[in-house]
Amino acid sequence: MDRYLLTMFSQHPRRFRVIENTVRNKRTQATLFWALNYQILPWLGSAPRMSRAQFDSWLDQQQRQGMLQIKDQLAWLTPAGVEQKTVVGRDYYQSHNNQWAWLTNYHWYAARFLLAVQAVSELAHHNRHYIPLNLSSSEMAKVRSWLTWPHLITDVEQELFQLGTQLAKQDLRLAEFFSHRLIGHQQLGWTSDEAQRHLQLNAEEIEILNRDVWLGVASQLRRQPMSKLGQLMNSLTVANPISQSAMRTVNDFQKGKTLKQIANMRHLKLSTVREHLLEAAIIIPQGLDWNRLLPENQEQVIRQAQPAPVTDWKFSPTNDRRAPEEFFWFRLCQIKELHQQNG
Amino acid sequence: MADLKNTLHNILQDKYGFGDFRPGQEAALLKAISGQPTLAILPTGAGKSLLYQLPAYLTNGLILVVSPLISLMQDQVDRIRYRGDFKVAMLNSQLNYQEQRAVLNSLAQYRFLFTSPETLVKKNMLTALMRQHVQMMVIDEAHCISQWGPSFRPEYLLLKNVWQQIRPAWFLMLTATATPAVANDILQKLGLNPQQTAMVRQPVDRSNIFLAVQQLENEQTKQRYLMRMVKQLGSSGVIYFSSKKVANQLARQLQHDTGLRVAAYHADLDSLERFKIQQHFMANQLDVICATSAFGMGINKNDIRYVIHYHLPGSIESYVQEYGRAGRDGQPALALLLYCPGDEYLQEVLGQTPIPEARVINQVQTNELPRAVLGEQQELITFYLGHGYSIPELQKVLQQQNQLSQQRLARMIDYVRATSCYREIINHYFGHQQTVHPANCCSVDEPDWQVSELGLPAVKRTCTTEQGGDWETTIEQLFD
Repeated sequence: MDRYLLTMFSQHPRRFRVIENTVRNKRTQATLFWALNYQILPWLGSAPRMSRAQFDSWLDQQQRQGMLQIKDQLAWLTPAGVEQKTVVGRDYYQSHNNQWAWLTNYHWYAARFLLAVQAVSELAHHNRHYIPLNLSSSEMAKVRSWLTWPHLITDVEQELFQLGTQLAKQDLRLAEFFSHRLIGHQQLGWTSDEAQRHLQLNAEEIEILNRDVWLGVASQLRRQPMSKLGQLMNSLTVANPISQSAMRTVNDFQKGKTLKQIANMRHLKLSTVREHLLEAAIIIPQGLDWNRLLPENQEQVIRQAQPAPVTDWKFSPTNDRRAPEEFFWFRLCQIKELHQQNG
Repeated sequence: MADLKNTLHNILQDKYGFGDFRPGQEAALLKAISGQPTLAILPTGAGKSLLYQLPAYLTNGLILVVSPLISLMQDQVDRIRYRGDFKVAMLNSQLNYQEQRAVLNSLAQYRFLFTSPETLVKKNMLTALMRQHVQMMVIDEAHCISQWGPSFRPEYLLLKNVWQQIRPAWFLMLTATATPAVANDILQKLGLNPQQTAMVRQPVDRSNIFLAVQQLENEQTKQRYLMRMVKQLGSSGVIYFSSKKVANQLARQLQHDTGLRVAAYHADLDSLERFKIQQHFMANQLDVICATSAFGMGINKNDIRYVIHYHLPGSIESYVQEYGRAGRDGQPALALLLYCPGDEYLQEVLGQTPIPEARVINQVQTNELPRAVLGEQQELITFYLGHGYSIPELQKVLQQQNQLSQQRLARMIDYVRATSCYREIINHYFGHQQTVHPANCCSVDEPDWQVSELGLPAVKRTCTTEQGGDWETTIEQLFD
């Protein structure tokens, strides 16, 4: 996804570690905040297997090719980089399902899905002699026990058509890639190279398209929990875009508990509770009672003391002992402002 | 013995549909099943996996197979699953803790267990195995026990203890390439008495493979020569590279210039992509694979017509092992090694382990060194330290490894520059004095050889045009 990575930079200096941590799904409050600020949150977890060394070597390459300028921990696009970004935005495949990035690990999801379809296809042809896609024994056992369900062949076929139809509505290439990637009786499905040739996309675009397909499938099957594929697949998806523990904090907060009460009840540090709420404020702002979260008087004090734009705000505690609490409000205020700006 | 012979032949006929064993198979089976530890040195394509698959029909116990590579295990697991007669499990680093535990807890359900030496020597694994009836233990690619170099896996040295603890009734070691010295080293490292161990050896020579070396001026001429040769050779070939980057680059170029269907295959691809490429190649829907050594150990495609080495292999053992993928069907095949001056430098770098200073080894010992500093070498050092080696002893071992790698590479370079028959050189290397020269022998005997004169049978390419159909039809085809 080299060229897509470039689109996460701008002419203005950005912290490149934030971009690295965003695509690698390293979720700290600071990373999420800056990702919100850079409007790159949809890319969260888009390259979970990328190593630091790979990112650094990419960065180095971009600098050598004159796309990026780098100073200290910041990087920004050169005029050539801006042009390249425009080309990617205009000519490259653009994701339709980025907003579902949190829903599942699409590599695992695709693997189980493909094994399931392969097994059903062979079952439909009464063939027991085939080489199954190799997954861990526990994944294989899950698919094996699912295979015994009644009416599986007709239902799965129908569900695949439904999934294909929905994907085709978004972009015909999604449906084509989805169907041709499937493995079954005497069908091996496209390799990545074949997909590139047939769809006339480059390797990076195929990588993004592949992710897009499985996020799209996962989001649809979430809405059809009683479908045969849904029942097999939904255990690989999560219910919320934030961690389970953070979600519990949000629920407790929404029920009227104070931060201290939550910390005591769940044996958490107060700083952890604040981290949870900041994560929620960034990712699911609509799920929080902002009036309680950020008292109006605090917001006023902060706003009066700060210049525009929001990224230039500087935090200076009025009381050292209360610094963590004051920073929490300060950060919330920034998050609120960014959400308003981004619409 | 006559009864056992008959039983083996009946199983071979009933279950595999073969009337006769290949050379060496029957002797190795008879020795192993009669309870004698057996080292079988059979060339690639001789049907080594049958030696542990067939005995499953004679026992209800577990057959434990130790294998060095995940791809190799995977291929065997796939084949046993494909036959559908026995339940098979695989335990290696690809499984997480829970998954490994799940397999160990249900070990009694399985008839085959494939594992790596690293996983096998773990305590919980050994404990679980001690509770099972392990009828047979097999060490596949047994030459790894004796191998040196940066890729050496010290856990192989612990297999002796495992075998002595499990004490299976049948013990079989398999390899395609072992010089007499290596064979003795294998027995010694496993604590076996040579007098009480059966050795079944077949010549490594595969007379259906034409052995060729082509010396070229430089990288550009080498690339041009490769393009020209692959164009002539056509379908069903493997080209080995020592660099993933070059494999990728030349796969693209070959596809473009030759019109053949070419794919790169190496450890950077995810498992789905590797599965697809491997299966496409097996089904002749891909013509050429540009691979690193990650490809091949598990590939059992009978009609590979040629294996080209774009980069110099590190040893004659590796070379024979890799070109042995060609012509498993016994039909004419070609092994072609390309060489241009300076090619040996890449192998020299790959084959050498830097010797860390005493200060660094000390830091490893006290866990003060970040893992990134030494990478995989750190595990090797930790292993030796954990097994009582002093720092000077450890440095000496690493030095010896480097010397051995250099010696092996030197023999490989001698081969490339040789002016006498390549087949004789390989046979001598593996301790066989007699060489039968086939009509098409090697490029020393026939310097003006032409592809068209090798009699390579054409490989039927399977068409993949239907794969471009619309999405609805593609889904329909899965079920119709």
